[in-house]
Amino acid sequence: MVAANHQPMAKLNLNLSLAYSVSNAEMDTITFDNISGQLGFDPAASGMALYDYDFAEVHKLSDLDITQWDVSLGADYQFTPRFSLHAGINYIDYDEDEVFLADESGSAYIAMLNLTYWFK
Amino acid sequence: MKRNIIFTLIVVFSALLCFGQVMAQEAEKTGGIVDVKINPGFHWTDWDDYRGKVGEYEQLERGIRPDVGITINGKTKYSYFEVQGFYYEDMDNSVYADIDLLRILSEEFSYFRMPHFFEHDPLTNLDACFCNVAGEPTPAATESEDLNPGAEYFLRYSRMESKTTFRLPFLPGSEVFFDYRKEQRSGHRQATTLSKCSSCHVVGQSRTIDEYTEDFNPGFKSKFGNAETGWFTLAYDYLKRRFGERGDDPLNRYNPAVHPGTGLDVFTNRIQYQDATLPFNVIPSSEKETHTIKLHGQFPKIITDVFTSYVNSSAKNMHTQAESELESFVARITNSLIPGLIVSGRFKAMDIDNDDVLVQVNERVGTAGPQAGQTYSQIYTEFVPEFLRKSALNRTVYEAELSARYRLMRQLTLDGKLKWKSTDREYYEVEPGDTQTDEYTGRIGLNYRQPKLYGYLYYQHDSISDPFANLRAACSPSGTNVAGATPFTGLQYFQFYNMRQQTLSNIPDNKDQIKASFSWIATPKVSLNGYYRYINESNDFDWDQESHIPSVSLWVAPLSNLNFTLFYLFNYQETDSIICEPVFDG
Repeated sequence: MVAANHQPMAKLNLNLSLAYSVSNAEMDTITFDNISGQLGFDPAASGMALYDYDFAEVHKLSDLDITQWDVSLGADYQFTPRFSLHAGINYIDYDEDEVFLADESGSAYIAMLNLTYWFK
Repeated sequence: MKRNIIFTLIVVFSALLCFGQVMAQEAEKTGGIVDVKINPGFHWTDWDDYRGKVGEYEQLERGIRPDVGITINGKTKYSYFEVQGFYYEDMDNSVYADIDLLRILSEEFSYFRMPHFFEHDPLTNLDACFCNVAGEPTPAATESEDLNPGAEYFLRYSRMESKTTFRLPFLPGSEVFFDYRKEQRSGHRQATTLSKCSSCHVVGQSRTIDEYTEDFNPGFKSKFGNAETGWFTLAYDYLKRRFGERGDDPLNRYNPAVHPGTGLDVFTNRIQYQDATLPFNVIPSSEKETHTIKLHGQFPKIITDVFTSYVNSSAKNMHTQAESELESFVARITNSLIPGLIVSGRFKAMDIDNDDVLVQVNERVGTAGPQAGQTYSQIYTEFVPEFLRKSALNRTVYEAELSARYRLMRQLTLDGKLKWKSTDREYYEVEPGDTQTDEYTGRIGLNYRQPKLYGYLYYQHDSISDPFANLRAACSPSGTNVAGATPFTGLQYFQFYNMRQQTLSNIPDNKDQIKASFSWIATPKVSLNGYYRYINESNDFDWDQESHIPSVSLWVAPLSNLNFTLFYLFNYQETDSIICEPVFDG
């Protein structure tokens, strides 16, 4: 994460923040025995000929590979001691490179503009 | 729509301007001080693809929408007060108020709501179980059905808290209080259930959520004594908690459990229910009552602090009427009579007692095939379906801890701790014939502190005898076992389960932990912080786990009006465990 704050003039304040994260999870290969010789019956004669007992890729089914970005930029301007203006934008990205159950990747964009007034 | 937004904004802003001005003027008249701050504005939002993860707790409504905030704080002759309100979206707003009247009556109130988005499992991964040479799932022995495809699942979460305290003016140091808290969750989430045999047919549908958790928490606290004999604080509070789900339980049609190939009704005596529409994903209501008594004594003359507490709690499942009782006693003493040395001792005793539950089974008689006219347990006499569940949570726990902190020199302190914990489970063996787990913990560390550099370094070792484990979790003795080609003869699934031998646990019997942290103000314009945690744990059941978490952050201010913060964190964890995976085929 990187954040910066700058006050180029007495009434103006700028801020920037950038966060990047990577998450990975994986399993070692799981070796299943080939049980064809242990069934004790002929799968073809029992209607099981089309069944697939290849588990070579099972260990990959739970892999996770997620990348996230969170970028925001903001500015505050103090017009008078009682009145200020804030403007900001925010970009968030969630990216699944290894889809788990469903692809939940998405991006969000937010912009804001706010006034602040003090009654003192 | 745009015109409505602008109009709403103008009205709200004008109202707040008038309100703020009036408050300030009124306060001035009475000699009080009031600060009012208002924040009207608007925000624009848009999103692509799926919003449930990127904005899991955000109400990302597309378009331009208004928001407004107000803060009022001040004091009058008789009161201090602070009020904050913020409205961002319909599901994202909050209110906070804190008022104190003459230091006799104080009220703290807060309310906020936010959305929580959930994932929608399309269940399509289940079609991966069987496939033909072309890679297509066939026959339709394993399938899934999402009855609400494309539905967006989210909850509206809200929490309201109120803390009212009345300080008794006629009894200095004493107060009575009444705290109230209510959490609510409403919306929909996905509920899944299995139909037919085991995982052959999974159904998902929307479930209405309308949950509440409500706490009533009255009590009192009183401080008395003097510097000669000692100061004592006695406190008592009563907690009544209610949890309920008002949303209707979803219903599912459970098909007749016929043979997938022949269509014959030969499995009747192996199932609890079939050919019926029944509720699932049932969420029971519960109630809990807790009494807590605390006594705290401070003895300035001998620089000693004593604390004791007693807790009596009972919880009840309103669906099954099963109850759970807890009793706990804690005592702690701390002394710093010897200059530079702080010694502390702690003792805890706890007992948990849960009701036994009779697990009843609907034993059906076979209607067709080779087992017609018999129940399953009549054919396999070693299979006993009904049993009295004795809770694995029933236990007696004792803990004792001794810790000390010694100032080696002005900037350096040495920390040490020894702890013993014994858990005796009434109805659960962690080793054949043994229900007790003993844990021993030793920790030693250094704390260094000077104006520009401070940090700590700790090492802790835990040794646990007979950790919580499943004694026969997996793995039959002779490698791979295969049930017979027809279900009526040969190895049955319950016999296959009973052949399991391997004890498995993810609780370590040995654990080493290192923690270190530092904070260095190198110059008024540069500061550096670092943190590291290492954990290595293992047990005798071929399970071990190792994790590293280093992090560092740097703050730099090259100019008086420009500063940067850089932060990096790495989290690594590796777990090794044996796996014995049963494969069910039809």
